[in-house]
Amino acid sequence: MLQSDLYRGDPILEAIASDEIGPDGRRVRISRTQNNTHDVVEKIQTGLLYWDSNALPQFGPDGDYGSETAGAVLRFKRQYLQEPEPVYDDVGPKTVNALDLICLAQQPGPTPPPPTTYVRRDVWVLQPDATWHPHLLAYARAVRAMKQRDLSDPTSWDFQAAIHGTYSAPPPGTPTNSWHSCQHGCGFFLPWHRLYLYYFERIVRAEVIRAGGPADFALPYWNYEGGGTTAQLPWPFRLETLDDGSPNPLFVPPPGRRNSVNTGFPIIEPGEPNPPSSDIAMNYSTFVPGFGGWDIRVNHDGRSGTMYGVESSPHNPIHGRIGGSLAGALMTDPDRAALDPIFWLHHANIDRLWNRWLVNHANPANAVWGGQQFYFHDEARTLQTPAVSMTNDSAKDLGYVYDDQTEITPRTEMLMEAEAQPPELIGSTEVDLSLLGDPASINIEIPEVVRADFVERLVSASRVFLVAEDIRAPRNTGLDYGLSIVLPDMANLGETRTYPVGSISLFGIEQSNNPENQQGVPGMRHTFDITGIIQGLIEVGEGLALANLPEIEVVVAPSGLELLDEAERDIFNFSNYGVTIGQVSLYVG
Amino acid sequence: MVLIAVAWIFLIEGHGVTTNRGADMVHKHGLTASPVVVAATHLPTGPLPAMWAWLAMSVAMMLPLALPGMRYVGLSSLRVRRLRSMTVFLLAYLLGWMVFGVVVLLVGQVLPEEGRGYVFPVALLVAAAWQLTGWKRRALLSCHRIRTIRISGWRADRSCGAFGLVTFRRCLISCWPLMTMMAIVSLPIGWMVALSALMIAEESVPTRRLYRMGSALLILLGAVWVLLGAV
Repeated sequence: MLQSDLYRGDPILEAIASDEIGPDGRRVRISRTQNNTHDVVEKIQTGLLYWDSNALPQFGPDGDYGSETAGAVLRFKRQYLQEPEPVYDDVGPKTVNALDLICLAQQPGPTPPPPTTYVRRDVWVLQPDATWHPHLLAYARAVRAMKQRDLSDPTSWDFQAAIHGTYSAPPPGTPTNSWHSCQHGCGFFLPWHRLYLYYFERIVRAEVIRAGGPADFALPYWNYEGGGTTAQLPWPFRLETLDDGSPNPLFVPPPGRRNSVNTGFPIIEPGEPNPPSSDIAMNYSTFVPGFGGWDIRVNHDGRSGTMYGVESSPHNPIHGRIGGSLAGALMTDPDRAALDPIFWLHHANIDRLWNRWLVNHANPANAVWGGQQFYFHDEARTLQTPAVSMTNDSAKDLGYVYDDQTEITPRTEMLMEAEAQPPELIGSTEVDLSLLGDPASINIEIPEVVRADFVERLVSASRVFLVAEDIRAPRNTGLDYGLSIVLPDMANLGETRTYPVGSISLFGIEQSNNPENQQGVPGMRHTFDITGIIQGLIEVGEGLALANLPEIEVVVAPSGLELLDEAERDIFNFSNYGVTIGQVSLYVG
Repeated sequence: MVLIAVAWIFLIEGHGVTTNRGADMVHKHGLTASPVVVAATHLPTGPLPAMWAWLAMSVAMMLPLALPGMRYVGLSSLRVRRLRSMTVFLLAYLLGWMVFGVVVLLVGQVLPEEGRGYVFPVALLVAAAWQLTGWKRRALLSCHRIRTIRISGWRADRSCGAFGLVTFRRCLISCWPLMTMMAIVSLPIGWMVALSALMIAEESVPTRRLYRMGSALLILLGAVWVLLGAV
């Protein structure tokens, strides 16, 4: 039985939907020769116009099944229904049922019932080996279908990827706010990507259902910190064919994705000194500056901001480790990353971490944050402008949870007013640090005038930051750079110890280099909170040792070298890459 | 901010600033020389008063554009040398404008008197056209770029000074038609305020084509108004 108000109960449409045989012995259809001037034609035309407002440019919904309407039906069948040839220009059951759903999505009326709560599951639990799980198979087939759609179609693969970032111009008529608009280096990183995934998932699910797949489909997530084999690329993305032997759309060969990753090399090695990790971000008590980023500011290219929180790690390094450094790598470049089907599972994991953080913490209640709107198309190709406030509760507002989700009572709290004084500089390196293939170190100078009350400032500071800025490189090397500081050892007084602080990823460096970008701060900036390290030292009485330090050694070491493919090693003459850190500074706030 | 206010007071009360009918006076009474040129050519003390006047104009009109950079230098410096860092930046920035002023002054000297009346509208037309060029756009984009500031010793002074000069260069590329005009032609204070506001606004708004076209149109209308006043 048809569902929309427009179609439900119409005898001709119901007969077509049920594929009935009419009194004349023919199957009930709408075509140039059958039911072609009945008022049901206008209903079909209305459905087509909901699908594409330009479907009937000349005659509109005139109730006549002429060549224009027939042509629109033909196009609908090819593009939306993906019908294999030969395709006929009549209206049959599939067309009626599909248009019925489209009309249903458009109809106003009483508040619809709450959405079914979808559960996003761990991909390694869904499919622990090479045997295809129905959800992953459905995802693969949906990706294939989306890849066959034209760029001008907002539900196409290329359009969806371009919402994040692209080198292409938008199709005519595309709202600029819905194109090349990902948020990075700011407090909108998390909510923008939550909404991005939400609408993408709806588009994928619509295709899954259309193709007869599981109606409870939800995007899986990839928890690469889960231990064991979970740091390996999940099986559905490593297999080159589907269960029917056709090419697997989830598989991306080099140079799009590293061969080492495709063959199952773990992207996080056990025992790495400075691995991509959510540990630091999960311990932040505030959203900004903290888990969600440094500040609240709309920022696409992320250069005038700073990388902080969960974006800094594990989000950024995972991108580079999967994509690699060859020209054409997808995940390495923000303007191509969403073309790799693993992108969505990576971001589902980042989104899951946000829900875990919310178990004990709060999102901002500030109107500036909650009221910010972003632009996405839904499965009916309708432009939506959701506000960030919709992202506070994924279950209530967006209808999904994660399979490991502890009960959350999402709450918000007002962000503190910006501090009267921004963090104060108390020490800095004096020359550039050039990075090649080996660890390198440089000293943060603590000038004499500061050293006199250095400890007093550290003791009274609520936070201490290490900021690496003016980070320059011609391109993303696909490596990340672990940052450590050498300070007195808390456990062995009199000795020194190297404390890991975090890692620097070059994800987004190409945008930093582009002089066409606004607010073009040269290079990137990464900020690390080292309050815990400093306070720990002061608590064990090492304040005096700190005060006597004329300088603080900073060590930077490339990580992820084991992931380099042979092709990368061949061309990866480190001196050609010229990664430079202009300055590492110490701030107290 | 105090410096900027003092500079404006100097300009309002100082050498040869005309009233709001200045454009009319420029044409009808042949008052075509700027305070700089007048001071330089007619005051017995020579070029020094001219340079004071030009310095006042640079501080009043161009220093506001350097304030974000100056703030950045301050925040990137140790507290004990914050003032010094900002001063070095400021001096380097203004030095650039002073050198520019000397060059334009010399050029202005060789312009025939009867030609100076046309400098105003012609400069406005050039400025309007310049608004639409890629050079202008890239210069505006680069206005928001910063450089690493070192924290002590000669490296710190060098980095502050270099940043000041780079900031001057970006501002010069962005605003040279208007500043050239103001060095040669005497403008009513209303024009100076309006042009200052335009230059500050275009740094603050997105550098989208629409905004640049709008500002070009405004300047073009100004040129037309001046020319019509001359007819």
